[in-house]
Amino acid sequence: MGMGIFDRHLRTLYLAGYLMKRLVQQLAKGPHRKIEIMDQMEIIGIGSLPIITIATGFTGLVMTSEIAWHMDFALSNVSMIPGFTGQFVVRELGIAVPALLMVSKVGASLTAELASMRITEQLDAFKLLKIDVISYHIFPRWAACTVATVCLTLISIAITIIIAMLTAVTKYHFNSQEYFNTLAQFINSWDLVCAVTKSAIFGTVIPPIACAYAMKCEGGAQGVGQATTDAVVTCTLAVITLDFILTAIFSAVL
Amino acid sequence: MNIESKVTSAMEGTTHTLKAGVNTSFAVFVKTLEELGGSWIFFMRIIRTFRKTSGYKEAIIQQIAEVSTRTIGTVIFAGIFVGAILVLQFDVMLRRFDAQTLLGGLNTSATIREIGPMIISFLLAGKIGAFTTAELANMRVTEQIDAVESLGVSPIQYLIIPRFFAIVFSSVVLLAIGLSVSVVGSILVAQSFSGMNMYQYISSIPRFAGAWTIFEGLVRSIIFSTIVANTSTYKGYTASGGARGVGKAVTEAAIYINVYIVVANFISSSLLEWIHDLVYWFISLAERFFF
Repeated sequence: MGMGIFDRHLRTLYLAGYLMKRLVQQLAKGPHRKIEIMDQMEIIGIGSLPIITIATGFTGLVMTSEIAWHMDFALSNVSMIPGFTGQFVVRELGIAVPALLMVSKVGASLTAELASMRITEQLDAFKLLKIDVISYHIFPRWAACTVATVCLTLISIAITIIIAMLTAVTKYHFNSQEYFNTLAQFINSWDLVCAVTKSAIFGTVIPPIACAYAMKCEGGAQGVGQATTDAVVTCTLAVITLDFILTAIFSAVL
Repeated sequence: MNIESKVTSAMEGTTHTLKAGVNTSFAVFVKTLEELGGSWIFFMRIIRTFRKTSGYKEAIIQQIAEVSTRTIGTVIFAGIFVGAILVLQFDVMLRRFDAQTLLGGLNTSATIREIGPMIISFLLAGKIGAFTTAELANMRVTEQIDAVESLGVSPIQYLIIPRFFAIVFSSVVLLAIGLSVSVVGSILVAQSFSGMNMYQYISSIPRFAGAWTIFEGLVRSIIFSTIVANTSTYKGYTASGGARGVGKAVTEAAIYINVYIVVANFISSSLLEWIHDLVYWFISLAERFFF
């Protein structure tokens, strides 16, 4: 039984790899389906904006007070807050939190949508009409999700740092000019390049995994629920694992 | 078309767009309030029913076994990686300050108090929360919950309460396991990736992490577990509309749990800081008077 579960997940991941290959091929060759990509960008990107704003805003609030607590404890002064907060947000938290939120917002809804299309036999109808689901349905969502994740990550980094700065100004009596000056010493453009690379990779891997679970979905409403659960968990684990690998690579290179 | 009518039509267009924007944000605001109120009423219903009735021991134990065996592998896997990521990040930051001796303490404290509970709860939202929502939503759309009700049994009593308390209990245990694993994992990563001596790393832990850290992690775990349990059962119980409805319920449950967790993280952080200050103020007061 245990092996059966592993087997199912491995088969689905293999399908995800195949989807990835097809998507990259389509990106190179076309058709690019620009109008559908624009539509999906509105749904995925603008649709996720409120949630990401709220979540990262609160993260910024928490981060400042946590780091201040630690700094006060370790070095018994709080002048290091800007550098530490900025580094932690730009390198890690400003990327991981939006990516995990994108998993549960975009990944889950992609799986639920495609899985309910599958169990109501709409995918078979597509096949009958000789419409390629990967090219027509998945590709625009993949492209939109990748671009949207990068943009939302940059937005969330900005929001987190601004909120962290406001917390530092009101609670720990920093001067905002002084805060940004200290921040600039600790963050350079390489950090932003790393952030964009990381978020692009996260945004790229979420849709193929989600859609692979949906295409393997079987058996009524229960199947849709099962597929969505599996997709969210696998995407979360994929994001965490890739985060570790990319962090290790970047900290070795830079 | 003269310039005045152009200006008038442009202003009308702008007003229309503004109105639409205000209406949409108002609708989002109202929907969020509805969600919050619905979850709260559902939570009170669960607590009230639980206090009035009894005899849940077996059902809860059965559910705990089911939930924890399904989730433990994933939690251990995620825990190791969360610890590992944090070690790498803190290592790079502390190297600039030449303060690598503090790595163990800082990392352990941050993992247990703050980031560990949050990220592992995100995972639990996907694993336990989405599964429970899918199960209950499936029962709802195939009218099994209505069947239970028509047999004269309260669905809250029969279906929700065992799941709710099982999720709360096993999430707290799973979070504790995940956090312990991530502490151990970060020791191994510090040894192998960032070239720290293991004993040096461990010796700096007690400087930062003590009883209060563990208490704080525990309080956070209980709050996050309650959020996961309540939101997932609520979204599953109120699902509607066939297979599509099940998918929608699962998606919404995952999102709402994540947003509630982030907000609760902030609120609990402020409250715990306040309680911490209060407790230590009392201790210092007691010391001054009694010793």
